[in-house]
Amino acid sequence: MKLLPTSFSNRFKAIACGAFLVTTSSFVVAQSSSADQQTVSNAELLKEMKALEAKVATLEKRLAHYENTEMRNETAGTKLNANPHHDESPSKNSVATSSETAASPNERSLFGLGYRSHAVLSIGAYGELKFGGQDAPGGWKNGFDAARIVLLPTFQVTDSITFNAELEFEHGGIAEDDDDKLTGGIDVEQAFVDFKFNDYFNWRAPGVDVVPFGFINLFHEPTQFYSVNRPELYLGLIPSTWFEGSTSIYGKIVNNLNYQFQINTGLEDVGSKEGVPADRSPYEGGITGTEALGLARTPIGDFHQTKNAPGFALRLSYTPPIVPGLTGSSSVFFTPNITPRGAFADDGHSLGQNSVTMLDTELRYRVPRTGLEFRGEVADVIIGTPSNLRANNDGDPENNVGKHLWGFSLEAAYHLELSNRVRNGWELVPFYRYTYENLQTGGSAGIDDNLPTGQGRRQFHTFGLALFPTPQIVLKLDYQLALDDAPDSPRADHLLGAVGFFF
Amino acid sequence: MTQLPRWILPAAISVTVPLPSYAVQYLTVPAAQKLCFPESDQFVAAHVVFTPAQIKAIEAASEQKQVLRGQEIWRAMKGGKLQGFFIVDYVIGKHLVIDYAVALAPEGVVRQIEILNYRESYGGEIRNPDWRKQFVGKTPRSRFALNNGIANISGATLSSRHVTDGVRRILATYEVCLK
Repeated sequence: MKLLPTSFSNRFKAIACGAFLVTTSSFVVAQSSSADQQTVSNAELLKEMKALEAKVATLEKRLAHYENTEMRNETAGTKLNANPHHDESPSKNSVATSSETAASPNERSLFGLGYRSHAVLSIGAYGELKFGGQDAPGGWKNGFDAARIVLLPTFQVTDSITFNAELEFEHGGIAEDDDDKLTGGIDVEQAFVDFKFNDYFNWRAPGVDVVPFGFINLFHEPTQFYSVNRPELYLGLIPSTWFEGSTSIYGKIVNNLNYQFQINTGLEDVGSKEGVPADRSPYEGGITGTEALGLARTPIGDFHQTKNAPGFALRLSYTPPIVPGLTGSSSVFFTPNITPRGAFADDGHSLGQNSVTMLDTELRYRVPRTGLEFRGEVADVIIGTPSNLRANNDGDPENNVGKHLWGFSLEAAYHLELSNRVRNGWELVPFYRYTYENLQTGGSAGIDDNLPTGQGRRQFHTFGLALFPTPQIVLKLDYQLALDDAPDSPRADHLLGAVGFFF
Repeated sequence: MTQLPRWILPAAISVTVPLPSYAVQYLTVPAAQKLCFPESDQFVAAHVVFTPAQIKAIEAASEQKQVLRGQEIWRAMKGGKLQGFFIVDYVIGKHLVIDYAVALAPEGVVRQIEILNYRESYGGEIRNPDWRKQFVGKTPRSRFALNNGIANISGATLSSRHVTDGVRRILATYEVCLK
């Protein structure tokens, strides 16, 4: 679409061409008529040609002048219709009706940004760099952790097809040589193609994706929570970042109520990537009374999954309009079996099928027109047949699991605008969160003696400050008082700081 | 459950999902114009190319970077009388561009916000009418930001923040270029 309707440049190009033709033809006519009368000398011919050249040069200069003027007008803020407010009649040079307008967002936008919407690889990033001290046997240990640097490539294939990925470098990454002292990892936490159909139905093609369960498992960038570490419920009970090979559909059900339904590779009751040892040597279970589900995630590589049953996850997220500021979600996960192929108890008997059902509801409430925010969450893991859990059959009487593993958290935060005190846009968020977890309820069964120490019943008091200089950057400092019911448990408090970013 | 159906289901979904996907362009410009100004019988293009001074003024008033070199604007007319302005704008959501439109009354009051095209995998909740309604009545003199007059959408924080910032920039554009 042209910015100026009938440009001066076109007009003067036409004038120049016309003048050239008129002059040339008159010259030819003059030549032929004069031939009848008298022969024109070469000198006169040359003179005429020079005059013609001069005229063309003059026209070219004038053309250049008007083109420059046009460009200046454009950059000088020429409104394409002289006065949009007062000129109430459509300009004959403007596009008159909407149906004729060419600036559909599907096409190249007039001013640039819309054009970037296709065929552009965008790479976002988030990360957390942590430092501080942690209470441990023998005293406090100070240190630093390049916890994660995550790259987020996104490619807009078409308006309806998008590729997303999340590539994570954890704890500084890895290196071949021991003397490089890198003990981290590189994970592909997300890699999928989305096909968007309409508001109600969209399809995420088979790929690697986070399981739609809870809030922080989906949205775990450090700017989404205020503590240095992720909320405690997501450090085992929900094995965040919980990602699986999966496919899903998602969309809205009605306004303010959305869904995502995912079929994934499920969980597995083995804690090692090697699966159940072929030589029948002892192995660690995926679900235990001390680690919860921290080791139960299914591997995503090289067909290393150890069981056939898939998992099913459904998450409903809602924003009830009758309570402005309230938003939340409820999730359910079910897999008919987590027992890996060849699983066995320490006495040699084979472990049979074992289902897992997980439930979660979380609410976030930002009190309108105040800085006050509340969050609450409850999560429950129901073990179908505890007697088939490896933790209850591994010879360790202290890590047994009962019928449930569950927990809840309550959090209060206050968003303090620092505009008048420090700089515009800076926000300080003091917060406090209480978390309770019980990973060893009653109902344990299996060949192990059941002698829980109380280590699975935990409470966390976490309080601190999160300073947001911009919404993309957060500086955090928190103290966590960690308690459990075991009389001889080592203290596990921490005083940590972190720099987080997300852009 | 036998083993075969366990893996057939994902494959079945893959196959039965309608394959010819179409663009999720929620609204075309003409459709959004009709939605925002149903009474209008004509939309007259009145696009603006910014001068450097105008860009500075818009940035100062909105506290937003002006990355566009102009704005796509239509005057909504009825019987030759101005009903308001229909302005198309673009912001980045999390990674990708969101096309949206702001309908302003002649005196610069927000009448309506419409999302024309949302491409991200997450954050489409900004299309929620209740969320968009929060902008209605805002003027160039209104002080608002995300979590300050405009509620955040958890899980769509970046999209909701950037659209909010974009509306502030559009209102500043009205002050500078259209008033």
